[in-house]
Amino acid sequence: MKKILAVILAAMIAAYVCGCSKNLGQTNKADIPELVWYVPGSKQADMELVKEKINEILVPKIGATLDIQFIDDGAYQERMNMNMASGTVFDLCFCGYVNVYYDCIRQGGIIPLNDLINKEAPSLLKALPQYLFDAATVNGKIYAIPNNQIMAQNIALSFQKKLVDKYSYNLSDVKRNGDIEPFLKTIKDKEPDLYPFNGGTSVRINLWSMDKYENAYIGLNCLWIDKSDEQCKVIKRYDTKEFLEGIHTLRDWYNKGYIRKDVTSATGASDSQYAVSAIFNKPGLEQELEKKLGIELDTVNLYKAHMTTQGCIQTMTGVSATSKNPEKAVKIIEQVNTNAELYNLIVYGVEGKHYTKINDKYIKVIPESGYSDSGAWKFGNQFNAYITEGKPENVWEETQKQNDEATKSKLLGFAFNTKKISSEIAQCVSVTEKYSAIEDGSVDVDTFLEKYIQEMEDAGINIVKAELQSQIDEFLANKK
Amino acid sequence: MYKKAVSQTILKIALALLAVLIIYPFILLVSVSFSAEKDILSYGYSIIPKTFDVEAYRYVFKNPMALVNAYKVTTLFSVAAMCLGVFFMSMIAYVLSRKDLRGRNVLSFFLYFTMLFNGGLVPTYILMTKYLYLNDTIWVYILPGLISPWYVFMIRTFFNGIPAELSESVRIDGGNVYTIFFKIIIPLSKPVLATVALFLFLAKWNDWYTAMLYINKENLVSLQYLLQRILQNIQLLQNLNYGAVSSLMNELDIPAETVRMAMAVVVAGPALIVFPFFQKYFVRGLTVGGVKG
Amino acid sequence: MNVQLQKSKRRLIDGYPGQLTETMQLYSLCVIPVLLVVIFNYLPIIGIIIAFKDYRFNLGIFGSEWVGFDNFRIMLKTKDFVTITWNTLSLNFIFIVTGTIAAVLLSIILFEVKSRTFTKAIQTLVITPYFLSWVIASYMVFAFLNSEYGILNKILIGIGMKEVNWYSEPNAWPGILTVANIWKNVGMDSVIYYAALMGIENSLFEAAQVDGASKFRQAKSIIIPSIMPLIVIMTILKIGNIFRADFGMFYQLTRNVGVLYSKTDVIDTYIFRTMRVLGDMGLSSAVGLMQSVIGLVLVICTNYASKKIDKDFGLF
Repeated sequence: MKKILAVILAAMIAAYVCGCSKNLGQTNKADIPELVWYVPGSKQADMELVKEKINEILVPKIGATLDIQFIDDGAYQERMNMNMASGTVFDLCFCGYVNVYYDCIRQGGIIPLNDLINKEAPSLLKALPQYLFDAATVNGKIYAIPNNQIMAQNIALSFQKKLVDKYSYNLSDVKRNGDIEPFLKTIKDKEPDLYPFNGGTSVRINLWSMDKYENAYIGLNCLWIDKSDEQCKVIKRYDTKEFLEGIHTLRDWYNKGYIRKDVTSATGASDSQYAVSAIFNKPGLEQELEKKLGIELDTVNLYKAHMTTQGCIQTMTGVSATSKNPEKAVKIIEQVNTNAELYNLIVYGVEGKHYTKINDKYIKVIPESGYSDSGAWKFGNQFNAYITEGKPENVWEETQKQNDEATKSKLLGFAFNTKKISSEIAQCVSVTEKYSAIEDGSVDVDTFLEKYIQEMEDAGINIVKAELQSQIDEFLANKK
Repeated sequence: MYKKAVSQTILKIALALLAVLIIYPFILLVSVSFSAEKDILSYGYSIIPKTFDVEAYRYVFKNPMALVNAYKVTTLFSVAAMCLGVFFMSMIAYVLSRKDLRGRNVLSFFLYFTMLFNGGLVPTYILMTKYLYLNDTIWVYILPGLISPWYVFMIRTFFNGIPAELSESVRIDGGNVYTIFFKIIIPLSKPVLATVALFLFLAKWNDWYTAMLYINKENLVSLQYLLQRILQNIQLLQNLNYGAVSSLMNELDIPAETVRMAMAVVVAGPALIVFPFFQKYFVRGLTVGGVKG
Repeated sequence: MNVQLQKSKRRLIDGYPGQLTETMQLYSLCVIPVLLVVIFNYLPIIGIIIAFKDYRFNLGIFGSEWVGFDNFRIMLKTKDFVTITWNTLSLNFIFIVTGTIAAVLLSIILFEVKSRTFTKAIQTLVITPYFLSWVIASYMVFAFLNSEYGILNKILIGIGMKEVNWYSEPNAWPGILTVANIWKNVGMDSVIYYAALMGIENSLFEAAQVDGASKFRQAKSIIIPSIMPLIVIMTILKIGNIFRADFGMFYQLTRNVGVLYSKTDVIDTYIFRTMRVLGDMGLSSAVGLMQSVIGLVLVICTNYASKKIDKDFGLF
């Protein structure tokens, strides 16, 4: 008995040691460095093949090879935290809505790129619009390059077409969201299987406020500025009449049955259950949603698109502090953003094997071919990518136009430094989440609002507001 | 006689009732997994599927190779961890059960301290990847947490209950610590060792966090992590607040409610099937012959 | 037999002949486990100093700036500290008490049933919740509690009462969470106690029956005392973690609905949400350290008290 165990033990140790040495037995070609780029997404089966082709283009141009590593979306945040915390050597990483840009900067995970771009990748400056660089600037330095895609938000209402036709609803009557109330009533009375209104998890109160106000600090959805205010005075949202109008209307709609009763706790129900949904819109979205839900939609844009810093920093590429080849890393970013052939290779794979070209602009992705659409917005300028079937032909032009023509926030490039007031922020976050139901109409507004305001004041919202204001003032002063 | 039968029946009914209450959600789970997606969205969960539909399972088994592989890997490291864990933990539990051992309290505290204090995620990660090179190997599933103070103390308590006379009788025959351990203690402790083995097996079987953090190679991914991956994508979407992102996130594939349930069944099912194997070790009483005094 | 007993008793006195060999043999037996503990549990503890630092990735653990108790202050200063601490403590306490009672009760009942097949079948059924993650469990609870088509509300309407929007009623949730906790754990926990019951010598029961003791009396004088050491140990162990909440349960079951926070928000969920905005690793490390230290103090006290009752009850 003991002997068997001893043998097993010995075998284990042997196996372990062997496994160990495998890790160490890797050789690198001395003069051509390999750069590693971490990106969220599912692993691609044909990655090796695509990698070969990528390097065929890259090596002659910049003398380096690229290894794109996909990390599962759900694990990406945690993994990147660990990678950076443990000092893992890598070169490029996606940062934005996950692996948050400001956190990376604060924790020292990515490096400033200004000098590197000027020296090594000057054409990047011309390839991307100036407002992107403005938005990404933190204290005068840029730490990552935004991957150009839809940046400016604009709010829309999405109607199910068959209902619009059935009840002969005139969409051009809809100028403000309040205008849809008669339609909601019709749906409530005549279509018991559907929910009339969906405020969504992110739009909600913005429906009433977004044409006038902008959220000055995204961590708390409470401090706003008037978009037209040159001095950017910070206002508490519950001091604005638009906010009050909004929550009263939502509550009214909830009571009338236009909003589902379990709105606070409902899981992501299918959009096809709602007659009208409030959404953030971009060109081509209607087609995408139609394809996904299998029903026809009509979208009405409500407000002019507006670009905020937050909107621009959702998808970016940064260079790691542990990178041994930051110059080459920046050159890769330049290539990805300017070389359409390389870019489409990364996004869609090899022509013929993973997709077929329909014409110069359109392609058809071949499903189950070993490489699927890896997400253009994860790597570079989305507008350089081929258009997949189903999207309108001018989708990139329209998107670019929406970006260019959007009103720009005066706070582009402003980042709120919360270090001095961390505990007040923590408290305010807690209150905000505690009272988040105020935005979905499920609670009695008057009593709730009073408590919300009281607790926010107690939590120190005024301290946060004062700090935010002083930092904004300093930012504006420096801008001149 | 009659009284006994009646009280037995009452007990059985009570237990049966309890079992039904407890298992009800699981039955719901199975039912949802065999339902049509649109029924769930329109009517919610129901105990009997309105329309019997195996679409969810078809989706889950779409990539059978990944699933089969995950099963293989998970079974391998779960069984390995279970065997090694029980073995090593009973060693230290026995040592701790010896009241005559010098420094026993120190050893006990040494072990217990680790239950409360741990360095946190970052130092552990650094140790495992930078110094031990355990990432992307099967050992990262097995080695950490092999010695769980919780179970060690449980086993030790059980060992305390084994009468001293039995160990003495071995000594008389010229045995030493090892003989006592292997010849007396282990064989008599089947119930508690089986319990710990079961718990350890299940803990490893359900482990998804390790895979998420340390595994990159697809062929080393654990079963629970496959499920968790899908569920996490959904959580991610629901937690996002930013408009620009929510519209771009529509490009991600969101699996249906029924698929989530199906995956849960696929993952939990085998563990339940395994349980009866452990049950046969729950044998009543000490069955060593010849040591009655 | 008496001679043997005397010999073993002699061992309890320090300095008996052959003790050195015995001690060395014993320690050699547990060399590997101890090594594993040192490597995997003690080495990372060095990293606890992150709690005292302003942790920057590029400076590493040792290079980052020392900030003393600043990270702790962020946590302690918040007004919510009292609420979340109270929630964590009180709910965990209720869980320990109700969970233990339920598990012991269930194991005794299972033990009393004569039919092995029936017992095995019931055991397999009651342990199923243990295998479902809290995420899945939260869907089940949602199916039960939601206001649109939830089963509980359907029942309430059926017996003529008004339906309740459970996800807006904070006061209902300590009860809901307790039931959920029992539901998930009672099966598996009872397995532990059941195994212990299996270890009780049959002769004890036989003797009691000969004496004509009722089942109730038997339970009181044989079963409970026999498994008391186990119950005490398990309880002490659980008390050590009384400051740590089962994050999965508190976050998933409540669907992170803000209205319920006054009764369901615990330290772990609070820190999780704060981290999403502040992203400061020093803070989470500091809180973790705090939870550990308090747990340790509580355990030492409880352990001391238990040993006073019976020397065998101590953890160490």
